[in-house]
Formats: sequence, C-alpha cells, structure tokens
Amino acid sequence: MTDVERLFRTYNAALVRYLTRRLGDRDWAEEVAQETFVRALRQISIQNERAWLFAVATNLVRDEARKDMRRRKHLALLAEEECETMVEPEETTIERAQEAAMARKAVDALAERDRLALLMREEGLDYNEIAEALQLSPGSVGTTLSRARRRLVESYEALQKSREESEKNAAS
Amino acid sequence: MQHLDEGTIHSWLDGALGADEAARVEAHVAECRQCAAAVAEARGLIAASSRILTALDHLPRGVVPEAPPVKWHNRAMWRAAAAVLVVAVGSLVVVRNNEHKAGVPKIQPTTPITTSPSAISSRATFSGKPTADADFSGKSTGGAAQSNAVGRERALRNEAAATDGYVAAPSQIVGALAATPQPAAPSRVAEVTAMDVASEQLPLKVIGTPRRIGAKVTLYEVAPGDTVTLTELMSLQLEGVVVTGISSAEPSRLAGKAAATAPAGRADAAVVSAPDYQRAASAVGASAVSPSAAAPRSQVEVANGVTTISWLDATTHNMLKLSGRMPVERLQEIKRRIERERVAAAAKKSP
Repeated sequence: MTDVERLFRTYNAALVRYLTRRLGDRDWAEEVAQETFVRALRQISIQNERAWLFAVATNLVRDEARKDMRRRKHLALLAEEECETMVEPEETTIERAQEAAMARKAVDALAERDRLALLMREEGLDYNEIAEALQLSPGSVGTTLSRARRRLVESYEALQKSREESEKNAAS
Repeated sequence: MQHLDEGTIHSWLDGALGADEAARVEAHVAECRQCAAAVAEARGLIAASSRILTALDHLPRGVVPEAPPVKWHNRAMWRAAAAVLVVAVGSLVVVRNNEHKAGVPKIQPTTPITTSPSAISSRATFSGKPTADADFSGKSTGGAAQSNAVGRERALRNEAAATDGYVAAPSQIVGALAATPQPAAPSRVAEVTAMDVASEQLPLKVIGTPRRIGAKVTLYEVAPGDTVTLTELMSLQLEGVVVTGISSAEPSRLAGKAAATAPAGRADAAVVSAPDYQRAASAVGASAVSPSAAAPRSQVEVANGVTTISWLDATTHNMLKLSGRMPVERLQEIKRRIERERVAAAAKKSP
C-alpha cells in the first residue's frame, strides 16, 4: 500500500464529510477531496498529515469558490427551482430537509475562520492541527471554537424560533 | 483563581489542555458554581453544534443537482440556435430588400458548366412547343429524321463535351431537336436522373413557403440547420432579359456547329428553332431589350455572405433565384437538385 493509498483510506471519509458540510454539495466535496489527495501525491513529505490535508482542501475550496462563483450561483438557482418542483412523500424527510436548511443557514452565518475550525474539530482534528491548517496560534483555537459553537447554536435556535412562529401564524 | 474564560472551558472539554492546566481547571470547576454552570453550558453548546453539523449531512434529494447542469446547456444551445436563425433570416431579408432597392444587382457570370443546361434546356422546351414546331415535328416522325436526330445527338454531345464538359446537356437538346410530340419534361427527367446517379441525394425538404407578392418563395432545408431560399419571380420582363441573351449567343453557335458536322436535314432544325425561340422571347415582352446585351445565362451575386444565383426556368420561363449561406458550387448543386425535382413534379402534373 502506497503512502497516498494509506492517506486516502485513513482520511478520505472525514475529509469528504468536512467538505460536504462546508460546501453543501457531496459531489463537489468528493472532487475537492480527490484533488487534495492528488496534491498529496506530489508532496515529498508531510509532517502532520491530517492538518496538511485539511489545510489543502480548505485552500482548494477557497480558490475554487472564487473561480466558481458564477457556477455556484447558478446551482443555487437550480436548487431553488428544483425545490419548488420537489415532492417528498415522507413528512420526516421534509422535517429533515428543513433542519438541514436551517443548519446550512446557521453555518453560513459564521465567520469563515470560525466555521472551518468548527468543521475541522468535528472531524477529530486536535487544536494543534486546526492551528496548523488555519494558520492560527494554538492558544486561540479554544476561543475560536467556543465562539463558533455559541454563534452556531444561537443562530440555529433563532431560525427554529422564527419557523415555529410562522407555523403558528399559519395555523391560526 | 479567577473565573475560567469560555475558550479555556472549551479547550478543557476538548482535551486540548496540558495535564497541569487541566488539573487546575478541574479543581476550580469543582469549587466555583458559576464556572460549573459555564462548563455545563459549554457541554450543551458542543453537543448542540455537533448535532447541527450532523444535520448538514442530510442533504435532501434534488436540492443539489448531482449531474452537471444539463438544463443550462440546453438553454444556451437553444438561445444560440435562435440567435443564428434570427441573424440568418434577417440577413436574407436585408439582401432581398437590397436587391429590390438597387434594381439591378451586381452580377457576375458563372462558369458555363452548370449554366448551360438550363439555358439549353429552356431552348429545348421552346422548340418542343407544338404551335411553333408543327412542321418540324412532322419531319421527325419519319425514320430519316430519327436517324438524323441521332447524328445530331452525337454531334452535339461532342460539342457539349468540348465546350463545357456537361454530359447531360446534349441529351436534353436531343429531346428538343428530335422534337417528338411528347412533352419535353419526362425525357428530361430520365436524362437528368441518369446523369447524377453517383451524387444522388435525398429529396430536398421544404420547410416553408413564405408569402410574397409577385413571387413564389420556397424554403428548402438542404442539411440540418442549413437552408436555401428559392424565389420564383413571376415577372415577364425578367424572363425576357435572359431569353434574349441566350438567343443571341447560344443557338447560333449550336446551329453553326451542327451544320458543319451533321447531315443536311438537321440544319433546318436549328434554323427552325432559332426564330421560334426569338418569337417566344418577343412574346413575353422582351423585344425592348437589346439583343446585343448578351446577358449571362445564370447569374451569381454574393452579399453579406449570402450567395444568390439567378436563372431562367426551362418549363415555366420564370426567373428563379436561389439564395443561401454557402459557396456557389454547393448552391449550383442544390440548384440542379431543385431543377430535377421541379421537372419531376411537372411531369407528374401533366403526364
């Protein structure tokens, strides 16, 4: 087993999940993850593998986001169109979709650095790895994460509250 | 010890603190209610944010398209196709309008290869008319006249091969000079069909017949997305212009050649046909046009990338114009196909 194969087997699932959460698009996430491992192939030696992989993936997303701003806007439009025509048979699925949409909104509301740190932490990266990947001082990671978690939860709860209110209004 | 800040609490809960610092934090939380409450809240935030992030994994189907945006391609292609169509139709209209405004367009004679058949065959049709050829038709029914006709055919075939290399032309002339009482059209169908067996193509597809006063307009699709416009002008004067030009140049040349190479009987065939031809020309009101004008038999005009060839139809004596965005050679080929189909259609109508 080559080094890249080992890297792939060890980190691909976490990296794809991190990227999917980050991008909201599984296919795109897989593309970026693959590109990340391709970059790893070219690397002679990687000190902290996980930090390196997450850092490269994050930068790829950033670069691609700049390039693909138009594409993403279009995809978002398409997604809206699709949403309008979408018929889901199960109510639980609608419930889940609404949760996912609120989660998406809440995550998008975070500052980029907070969001990335939180997503990386969720994938098991320790504070040093997060600091390395995001070029932060290790001492500031705790503060970054605590701020990110609080804001995420607060904005999610706010969205939940307004949804409940609008449902109440619709019912009455 | 002062109260713990939120960052330290999260670092402690995430196991990111060193052993010493972790022990200090633990001791403080055990004593301090306020910090114990903060730790409880931090645990809640960690669990809640984890749950929220997990919700991101439930990507509902259809919200994010899995395949590349196919719709977008289709739309763009349709838009492009529509734009091309608009430009093509628009420029055709402009070209036609320009023709009308300019009166006489800038005209160049084409190569004789493709122009001669229409010119010669138009002559053939004239001489085939029963009114003008009553005496000649009578002659041709005899055996001697038949053999003369064969001689003429050979002579004219040589003539045609030498001058323009168009093999089918003499056969068409034979149809006229032999002057059998049948209409000229069916024999022409046979000849023309035989001529192009190698390059036989599917029938031209008519995709529209836009209305226009004084003309019959037909839109043909010659290839997917590739159209030509055939305009049949009903004006008598336009016919006259071209007819006069042919009568001044073509028949006399053919007659002279025929007289030199064929037996005596055939000279009067040419002689008979020439005045008849001129009669026909004057009958359509061309007498005012000078015979020395020597108008080209088929005319080519190129404007804004649209090529237009004009010629006189053999059977209807109408001026035909064929326009399309393609080289002259291709247009000439389509012209031949259209002529073939017109002849075939005429043959069907009057068997």
